[in-house]
Amino acid sequence: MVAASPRTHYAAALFVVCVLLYLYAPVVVTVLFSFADSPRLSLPIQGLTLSWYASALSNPLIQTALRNTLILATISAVGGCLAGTAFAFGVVKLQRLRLRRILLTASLLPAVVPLLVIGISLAVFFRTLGSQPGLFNAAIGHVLVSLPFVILSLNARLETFDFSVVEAARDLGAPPLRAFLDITLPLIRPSVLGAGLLAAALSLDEFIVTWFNVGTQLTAPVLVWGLMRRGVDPSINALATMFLAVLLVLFVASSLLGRRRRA
Amino acid sequence: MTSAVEIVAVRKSFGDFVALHEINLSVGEQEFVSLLGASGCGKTTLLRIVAGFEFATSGRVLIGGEDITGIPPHARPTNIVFQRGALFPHMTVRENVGYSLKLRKWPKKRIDEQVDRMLAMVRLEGFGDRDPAKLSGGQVQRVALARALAGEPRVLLLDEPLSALDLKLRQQMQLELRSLQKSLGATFIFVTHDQTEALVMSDRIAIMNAGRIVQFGRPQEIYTRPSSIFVSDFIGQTNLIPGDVVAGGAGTAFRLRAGAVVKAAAPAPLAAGSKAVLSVRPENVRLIPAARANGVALRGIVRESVYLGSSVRVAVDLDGANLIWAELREEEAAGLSIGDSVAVTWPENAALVLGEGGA
Amino acid sequence: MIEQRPRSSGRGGVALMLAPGSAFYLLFFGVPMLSLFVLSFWHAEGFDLIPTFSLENYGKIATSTLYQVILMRTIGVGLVTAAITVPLAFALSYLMRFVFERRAQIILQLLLISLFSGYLVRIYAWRTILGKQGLLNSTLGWLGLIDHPMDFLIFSKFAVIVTLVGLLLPLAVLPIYSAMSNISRDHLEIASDLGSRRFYLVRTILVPMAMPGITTSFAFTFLLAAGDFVTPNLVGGSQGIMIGNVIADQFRGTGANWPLGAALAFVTVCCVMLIVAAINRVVRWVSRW
Repeated sequence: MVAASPRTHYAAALFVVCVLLYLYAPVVVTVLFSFADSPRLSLPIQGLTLSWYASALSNPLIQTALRNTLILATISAVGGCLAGTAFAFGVVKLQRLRLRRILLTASLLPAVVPLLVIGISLAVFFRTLGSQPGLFNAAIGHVLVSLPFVILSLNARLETFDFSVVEAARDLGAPPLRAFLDITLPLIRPSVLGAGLLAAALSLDEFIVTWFNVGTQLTAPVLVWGLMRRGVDPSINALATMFLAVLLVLFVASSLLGRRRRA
Repeated sequence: MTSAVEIVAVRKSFGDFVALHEINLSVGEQEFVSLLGASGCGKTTLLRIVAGFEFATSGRVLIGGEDITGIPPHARPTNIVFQRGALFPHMTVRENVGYSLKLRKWPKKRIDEQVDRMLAMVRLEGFGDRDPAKLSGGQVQRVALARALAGEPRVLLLDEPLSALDLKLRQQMQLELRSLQKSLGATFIFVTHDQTEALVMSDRIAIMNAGRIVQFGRPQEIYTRPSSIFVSDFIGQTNLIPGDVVAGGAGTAFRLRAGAVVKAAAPAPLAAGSKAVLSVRPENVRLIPAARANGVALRGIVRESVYLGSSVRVAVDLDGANLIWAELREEEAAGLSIGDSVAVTWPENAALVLGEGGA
Repeated sequence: MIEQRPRSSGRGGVALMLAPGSAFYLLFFGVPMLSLFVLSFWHAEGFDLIPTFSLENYGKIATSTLYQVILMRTIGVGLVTAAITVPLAFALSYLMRFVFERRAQIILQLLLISLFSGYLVRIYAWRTILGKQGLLNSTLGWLGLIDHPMDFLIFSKFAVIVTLVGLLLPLAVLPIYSAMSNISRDHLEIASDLGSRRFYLVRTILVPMAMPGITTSFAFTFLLAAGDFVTPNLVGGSQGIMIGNVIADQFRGTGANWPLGAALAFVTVCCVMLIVAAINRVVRWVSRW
């Protein structure tokens, strides 16, 4: 049944291409218009310019926003990785399969609850604690949002991890910590780094939870949101294109690291 | 002979599941002992308790007379070879073999010498700088062996190290392992589910079933004098024919369902009248054309004949009640054809009567 | 040979590894959800929150036609989005698994990359494409295909759905594709040996075997579409206001009312969950026939 006629084969290929075009249309438009010199976003493009990049970078708020975004990304990469790796290890080491499945499912819950609900519930929580909205609150939100993905990707790695190499090290005379440092860590390092990059990428792009918890502070997505609400501004495209580049690098690096795990 | 390993009343349970019931086992110095049993019989759990990866629910483990029951794996004088080698994939062969020596902070020169010795011993000179991923299955197990022996453990534990290899290589490695063990004069405990492997390699075999050691003895003893139906069925092939005991004692008399009464040895005394099973190995069964057989009680009709190359297997129906298989040389079977009436006989001490309770 | 071989590393060690993550979840996910629920029974006076136990917020929702209309619209948009996204995702997964097998990894990577190409930016770009003076209208006008810009393209439910499908499609593919990865070609070939026609094959073999993936994907898409507030805000206009906007406004808008927002959030989540459960039930009932 799988061998189809050439005509249906072409139709299928056309379908895939159309879907991909649909998904990438926004990306293409953004990149294209970040270089277009007319502020009216319509075709045909008259000339090319870098002035939107210049105006985006000259925005006085952008440095603060970028700095805050980097701080958040670092916190969620490091925090998510430490807690997520430990948790994934704990889950895999559990002997009772039922308990394992329950914990794993529970750890994925924040990924299923709409971000809006996570955002407002954290805002309520911090308000009742009397904690002022700001970067710290947003950072907690970012770690929460990235943890399920860190746990999921590390769990996938650890499920196939051959723990007998760790036992071999213990057997050959290595105390637990030494066996972890000599054997386990080097073997899972690519996956941990990949998960960290994933967490960073999620954090860089995270807007909703941030919006409800960051107060008057700025992050790059919050800044972009402000610009978007004000109206058509091609410097948004320039900013977005630069961001896109960073996200792409992070994503590609993360998936390359993930693939190296078998090597 | 002093004991290299002494396992005293070891019990292990996982929740409600009892993996090991009161295991007692004593392994002598320089002895090669196999733990043989089907999957799930507890043999690997027992090995892992000796290695220190599992802790016994109760009981003690002694090595060289010293109680190591509560000692963690890294502090035990045992080393283990895993089923699939478990080589460290991010280290070279040389680093793998030298790992335990590095942990002991041997000087580098001494480590290098010892690693070279070990690699020569497993015939892998020149493989030191290889990446474990680039080794064949047999080479992986050789490196694992070298790595486990490098630190000169008092006892080497082997957890089905050959089961992932193909038959030819496995047979070759069996002989190599055996001669290595003899030349080193080391104590080996070897876990396997392959009875041939256990027979070929071991000084003694402990047969395990459902968390118990059901028989412990030399290979020949186990083959010729199984103590239970389970063992006689598990080791080699045998005819198991149900019936009952007519007279107990030294020369036990046994009546088959078909009615004939035969004499046989009984490893455990059986009361007259009790139900039992007669065990005879096919290679011991002889068939005589009925016309020439005088005074043979057991008769039957040839039902089937299977050509096996080096021998012929013939099935004889004992008066419609049971089949008995005989393994004959080709010329012995030449005169027999299906439907022939034959008398069935075996050397007197080749038949065993085993109680049905059979532990 | 596999024997029961538990990996023991001491119960204390396992507990220690699970502790930080569990504590984090409990403190920053469990407790906040609970406080949101509790807050929905409180009362707001200006910017102050008065702890009481009253059902006034729920009463307000039950009696306000505006909230009900918006909630119904949200559910409608969510269902339509899911109804478009899931079949597309199914077709794409099918093609990746059985037709373009060698390209599947590349297609998957492309899907994931689009997922990481900036959430806000992708929504904003749709405004550029669909706007009255936007890319689509201006191109069609320039080609002489239309005289007046089509104005249903932007600030409408249409715009919201087009944008949401684009946002959620990559996510919807993942569960279906992974469920289909477990279906071997053998299943299909045996069935076709038995004389099944293609459509029949899809209906009787492929869909039932991929069903866990399909229901997960449907639940994901519906949940996320119904919970989004950025999309309606940027491309929905007044016609496309969804419950997410209303909730968000209760927290960061001018007339903020946190307890009411909390109640709205719970009502929405419950409605959505109930619908997902009901649809699962129906699907299971139907697929038994």
